[in-house]
Parts: sequence; C-alpha cells; structure tokens
Amino acid sequence: MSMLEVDSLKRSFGGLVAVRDVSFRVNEGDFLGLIGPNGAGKTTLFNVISGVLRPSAGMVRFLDRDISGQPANQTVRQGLSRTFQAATIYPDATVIENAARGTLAASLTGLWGGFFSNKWRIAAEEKAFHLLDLFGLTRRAHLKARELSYGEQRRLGVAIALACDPKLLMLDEPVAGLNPEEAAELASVLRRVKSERGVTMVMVEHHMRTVMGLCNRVVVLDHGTLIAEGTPTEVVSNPLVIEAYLGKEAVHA
Amino acid sequence: MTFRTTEFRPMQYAGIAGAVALAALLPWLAPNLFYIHLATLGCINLMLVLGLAIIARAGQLSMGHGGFALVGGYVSALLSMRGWSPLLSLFIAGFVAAAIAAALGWIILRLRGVYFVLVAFAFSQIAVLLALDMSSLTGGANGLVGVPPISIFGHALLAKPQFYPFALACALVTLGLTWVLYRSPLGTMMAATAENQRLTESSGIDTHRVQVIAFTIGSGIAGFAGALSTHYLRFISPDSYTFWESVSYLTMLVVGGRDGVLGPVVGVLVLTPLPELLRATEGLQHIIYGAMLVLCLMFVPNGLASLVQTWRSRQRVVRPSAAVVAEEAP
Ligand SMILES: Nc1ncnc2c1ncn2[C@@H]1O[C@H](COP(=O)(O)OP(=O)(O)OP(=O)(O)O)[C@@H](O)[C@H]1O
Ligand SMILES: [Mg+2]
Repeated sequence: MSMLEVDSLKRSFGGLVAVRDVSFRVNEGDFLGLIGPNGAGKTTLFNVISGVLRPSAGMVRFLDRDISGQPANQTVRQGLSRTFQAATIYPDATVIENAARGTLAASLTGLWGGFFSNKWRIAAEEKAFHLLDLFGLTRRAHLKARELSYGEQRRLGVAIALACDPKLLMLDEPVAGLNPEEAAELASVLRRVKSERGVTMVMVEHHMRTVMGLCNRVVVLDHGTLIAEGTPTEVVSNPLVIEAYLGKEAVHA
Repeated sequence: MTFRTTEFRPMQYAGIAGAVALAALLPWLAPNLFYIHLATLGCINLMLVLGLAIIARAGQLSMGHGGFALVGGYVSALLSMRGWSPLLSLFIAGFVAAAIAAALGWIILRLRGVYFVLVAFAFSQIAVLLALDMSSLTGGANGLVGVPPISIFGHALLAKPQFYPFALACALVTLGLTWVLYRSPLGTMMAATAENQRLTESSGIDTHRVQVIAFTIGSGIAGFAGALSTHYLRFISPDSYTFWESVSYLTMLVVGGRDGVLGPVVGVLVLTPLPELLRATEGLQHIIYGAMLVLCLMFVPNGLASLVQTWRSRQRVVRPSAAVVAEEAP
C-alpha cells in the first residue's frame, strides 16, 4: 500500500523552478533514499511535502488524504514528521525538555488540559526518556541542548521528530557533518526504529555508504527533475545518474 | 526515573509565605498612606507586567499593552457609571480587551517580529485617539471623573487601606494563575514557540494559535488591570495609558526578567517607586527608565531575577555534574 503519493509536484521561487513536475510514491515499510547534487531541490521537496512551503502546482497525498498546502502542524498530527538539514533543537531547554516538547502534540491533554495536574509532564518525560535512551543521550538528559556536541544535537533533532509517533519520518541529511563512527551509529539506530516501531522513512543523504546500507529504494533529483528511480545498485549504475551526480562521488562510494 | 523541571523546596515555600505575609501586613507596617498608594500601584503594575510576560513567553513583544489597559479602563468606567456593579464591569473590561486582542491577534500575529510590534503600537495610538475623539461618550481630553468605587457586599473600597487588600488579592491570583499556565502543556508550547517556532510547528503544534491565545490572555489581564486602576483612581483619561506606560511595563519586564513569574515581581518592585519619587522632575523619569533598560540589557540580559536563578542552579548543579564526570571517566 502506498503511504505517500507525490503527483506532478512543482515549486518555484520567482523565476527559479526548484522542483519541477516530480512524481513518486513511498510504500509502507519503505526506506526511500532521495539523492541529488547540491541545489537539486531535495530540501524544497521536503518542505512542500511537509507543509512548510506551499506547492506551486501538483498534489501530495498522505494515507489517502490530500495534504497539499496544508499547514505543517496538521500534517505532523496526521503522522508525517520531518527533520531539518541543520541541527534544529531548542538550544536553551534541557535535552529531556527538548524530547518532551516533541510529544506535546500527541499527548492527550490538548491545549486546554493539564493545568492542575502533573500527569501529562510525567508521561511526556517518560516517553522522552525512552527516546533519549534509544539515541544514547540519557546521560546528557539534564544538560542544555546547546551544550551537546554537534553529533549529539543532530541525534536529538531526530529524537524530537520521532517523539510525536510518526508513521512516516522524513530525514534531511541526518548524518551530514557526523564522523564515520557517529554516522554508523545513527544508521543503526534508524534501522532499529524502522524495525521496532514500523516507521516508514524517507531520507535525503549525500553519504552514499549510508544510503546503500539503509535504503531499499532510491529516487534521484537533478535540477528539480526526477531523473531516476530504483534500487540503490540500479541507481548507482544508471548512466544518467552518474552523469548528473555520481560522476565525482562514485569514486568515494 | 522521572525528573521534575521545577522542583519545589521548603525554603521556597517559606520565602513565598513570608513575602505574601509582608505584603498583606503592609497597611499596618507602612508609616503613611503614600506607601500604601505605592503598593497598590505596584499590584496593578504587576498584573500589567504579567500580562506582557505571558505574551513575551510565546515570543512576541507587545508595544500596545497600554492600549488594552485604556480600553479596559473606559469599558469598566462607562458601565459602572451607568449603574453596573464595578465588580462585574472589571471582568467585562477584561473580556472586551481579550476579545479585541483575539480578533487583532488573528490578523496581525501572522506578521512577524517588528511588524507585530508596529501594529500593536498603532492599536494603542488609535485607542488614545478614539478616547479623545468620541468626547460625547468618553469626555474627550478631560476624561471621565467620578468613576464609582468598587464595592464588596455593599462596602465601598474608598480609602487606600481598604482598596489595597483587594488589589493585592487580584495581583496574587494573577501571579498564581500565570505560574499554573507556565507549567501547563499550553505554557510549555508557548515557551517552545518562542525558542524555535519552526521546530514547534514541525512537532505538530499550531504556533499561530498558541501565540494568539497568549496575546489574548495577556491583553485581557491588561484590560482588567486598567479597569482596576480606574476604579482606584476614580478617573480615566486618554493620558492614563500612553506610549510611555507601554514602555515602562516593557522596562519592568526586561529589568526583572522574562523567564518565570519572579522576574515581573522583581521588575515591579524595583521600578514602581521610581516615577512616584521622581514626580517633581518631570521628564527625567523617561531618561532613567531608558538608562535602566539599556544597562540591564548590557549587563543582565535575562533580568535581575536571573541572578537568583544562576546562584541557585550553581548550588544545585555541583553534585550531579560531578557524578556524570565520574561516571564517564574510563
Ligand atoms: N526560500 C527560497 N527562496 C528562493 N530560492 C530558494 C529557496 N529555497 C531554496 N531555493 C533555491 O532552490 C534550489 C533548490 O534548493 P534546495 O535547498 O531544495 O536544494 P537541495 O537539493 O536541498 O540542496 P543541498 O544538497 O545543498 O541541501 C536552489 O537553487 C536554492 O537556491
Ligand atoms: Mg538540502
């Protein structure tokens, strides 16, 4: 069953067309890789799907519901969560508060509850602790998030995105800027999250080793256009892709 | 294991009880009525600054706070002069101010940062102009004189020592409710919105709605406080809440600190007596307020209350952090 359907999606900024007529599907259980050279429009595509930006044309369907142009917060509550390319955290809150804030939308009290009881806080922090444990941040729980190392901040960003129990998690370059050990560690956490929680994932990533290790399917974007789609091995050997993108990277991969 | 972000200790309870007792006993301790007058103004200012703090908690700066107090003052004055009970009209004033804020907020909070500040400022100027212009209703520049006093069980709060306990009760209730709000899910969402709106939005929270709610609550409190002050002074005019009042609440908030409920209390305690003591030197008070604002932003950007928090957290952190280091040593 397809979870996310992107149909002829387009987004332009003034005269610049960042995403041009892109269509693809994400099936339940997929780990889809989205690759492409710098400026190809990957982040823009993420922003349009998640509701941070409105599409100029085209349609996005999530769980058989049209979500095109719908505000991001609503899309998240329906089960589609995303991370940002830069480390995106609450720098002045503690690590545990950061993760707990991610659970608020899914908590039962809503906007107008929890004034005279601490139950919601205890539940939020309990859930947050499980996440911190998963991402190896338990010992950092009471530090300010700004005091974490860059790699830890990136992991915390993923933990926050997972806190609202998404069905589909979209990761924008999760391992960028991490050293090889950190990257491998995060990759194994993502694999665990996928198998244990059954979260479908889409990942933008330049790091081919990570893409090869995690993704069952890859789509390639170049100048806003989808130029190839297939298994990682198929895509890597596709001449169009090599020309657009892997020409220089294939050596390292 | 569970962790409480704000832990309460016996020392804190004792401190709060002591401060409240001191405030309640003031009429017997004060050498003359002027101190009671100052304390009453302090209570009203505290409510106004708490309202502003709630708006700031969600990441917005209202430069039109005085405008909502003015609206509240006129609403309550006009209703009570037509025979409504002031005790009821106080609340109506709060609701009217809140309703205006909700409508305005829905439109202008889409505007970010400086635009919001400008529109809120423009609103307060329009409120003043309307008060001047609709003179058949508002008495124009002369304002409304002889606003009825608040009466409780047929007992009019005319003298200062009688009004003060009522003002103190209102301020303490506002303080308590603000504290409850800050610890609630809504308060947490407000803080998250202020710190990183994009991330909060991406965590499934409608940040625009959260900000409108904060603006509505904060402005409603301002309307109530403006009405309270009007029944205390028994007078309101367009000069009662000008741009300078809005600036002074902001100064109190910055000088005291924006983080918790302690900041507004400290800011009000430090800055309420100033203009009254400097009444003779007209104009100088603005300069002194400005100087305090700049000095605080330079040397204690998180406000005077943050000094207490820094000191307290330093005491608390010593042991746990040592434990972490030990645990991590190979
Ligand atoms: N808000 C914006 N306003 C104007 N142009 C934009 C905006 N966001 C992106 N662009 C442009 O759209 C194009 C695609 O950018 P995008 O960030 O989506 O690329 P990307 O594939 O994520 O690149 P990278 O690998 O460097 O992250 C670029 O030319 C960029 O300059
Ligand atoms: Mg990008």
